[in-house]
Amino acid sequence: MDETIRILIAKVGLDGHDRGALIIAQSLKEAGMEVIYTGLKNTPEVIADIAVQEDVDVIGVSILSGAHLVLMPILMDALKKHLAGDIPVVVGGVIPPGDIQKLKAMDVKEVFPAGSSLESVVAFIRKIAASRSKGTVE
Amino acid sequence: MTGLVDKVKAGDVRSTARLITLLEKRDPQAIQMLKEMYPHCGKAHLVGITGPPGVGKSCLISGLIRRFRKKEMSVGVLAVDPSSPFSGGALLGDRVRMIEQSGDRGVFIRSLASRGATGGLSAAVNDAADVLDVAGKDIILVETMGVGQGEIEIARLAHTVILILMPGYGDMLQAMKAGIMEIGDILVVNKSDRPGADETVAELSAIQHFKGFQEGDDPWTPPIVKTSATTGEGLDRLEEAIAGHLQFMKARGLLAERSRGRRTRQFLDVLTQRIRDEFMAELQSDPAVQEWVRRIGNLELDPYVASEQVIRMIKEARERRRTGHRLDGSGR
Repeated sequence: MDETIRILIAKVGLDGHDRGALIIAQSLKEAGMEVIYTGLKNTPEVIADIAVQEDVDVIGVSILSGAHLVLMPILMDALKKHLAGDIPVVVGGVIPPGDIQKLKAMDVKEVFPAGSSLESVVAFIRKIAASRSKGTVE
Repeated sequence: MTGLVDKVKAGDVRSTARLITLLEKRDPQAIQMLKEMYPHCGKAHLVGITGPPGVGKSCLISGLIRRFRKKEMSVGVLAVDPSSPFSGGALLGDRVRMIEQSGDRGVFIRSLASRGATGGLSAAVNDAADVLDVAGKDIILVETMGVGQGEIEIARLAHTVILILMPGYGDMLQAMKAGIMEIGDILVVNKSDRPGADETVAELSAIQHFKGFQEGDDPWTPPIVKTSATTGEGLDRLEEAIAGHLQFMKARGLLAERSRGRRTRQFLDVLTQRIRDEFMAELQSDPAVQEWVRRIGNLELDPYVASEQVIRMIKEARERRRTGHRLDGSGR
């Protein structure tokens, strides 16, 4: 059976920069994954809705605006409301070191601050997608 | 997984999405569900939307959805993008142009990657369209990139095919050569706010006249519609053309004919793929075939004679089995 990983790369809130998100998207594509990109300035509600329709294995959120501590709890709640709280979420972008634990306390699985290697992102997403597909056979 | 089809029928979004995923993976349990689904299929109008990259297919779809939603029609969209032949990965970005429709419960948009084989792709799109049909969508738009034969094949699963072009896309002769003119039930010249739109329309209608001379009376002449997805101009005429084509097909009983053709093609695609998967692995490990591969590499044998030998080998094996059954009387 085909085990291609599907991942959503999302930009949330008022954040107009997506070079980083596009580079990540390209790397994940080159690693053999199917990457769904949302475009800029989406609300958490819209991202949750897209994640459900696309039935993705992982959601990657890119935030460079500094609003991650405000936006991420809203997104995590929106996912739960759409019964998609089981989809693992990772965050990347401009995240101060002190905020990483705060994000993880919201059940964000991993944080990739600026300077993270593309290899580490690809490896982590492979790992988390594999553990999920084994765990949730309906 | 039991009751998944019932949940899809009830319009559950998560189940709809999951069933598409499982069918795309060729999950054996999900394939069992197709039988359960088929009696509920056939209500949706399947519209294929194709054209070269960058002509504005996704934007136009977004505009069409807006109009369909005003009439309270529920809409499904399958946006197909190519997989990389090297990594197998894909970047699926069609949603970016349809973001306005995300969050609307009456719209279900799904991005699909072509995942290599053309046969496999059309099978996956066929199944996903069936799922959205069961989920009660009134109209399902299938967006494909019309550059290769594979994508044209996908557009053929539709009841109505819209071919989108734009001004200045080069010599219209190119379109004739590529054969894409033949597949459109409706021809759209998008980006008509740009210069050259009228010339493109004129060229298209000239090609139509030429075709008319060749083929005689065609019961349906594809209307040529000028649109601008950004200003919304011409979208009303496009919507009318889509409804008009559906009426035409219904009135002449052609809808059922196209649906039957779609199922036959799907079966042949799946069968071809399966035969390939089933026999290629076995043949490649066959010592005789390996020897031929070696000789072909050394230019001692040509691929045509070798292929004929493989076919003869398969036929002989079938014949042996048949006569064997007859001799010992153990045939079914």
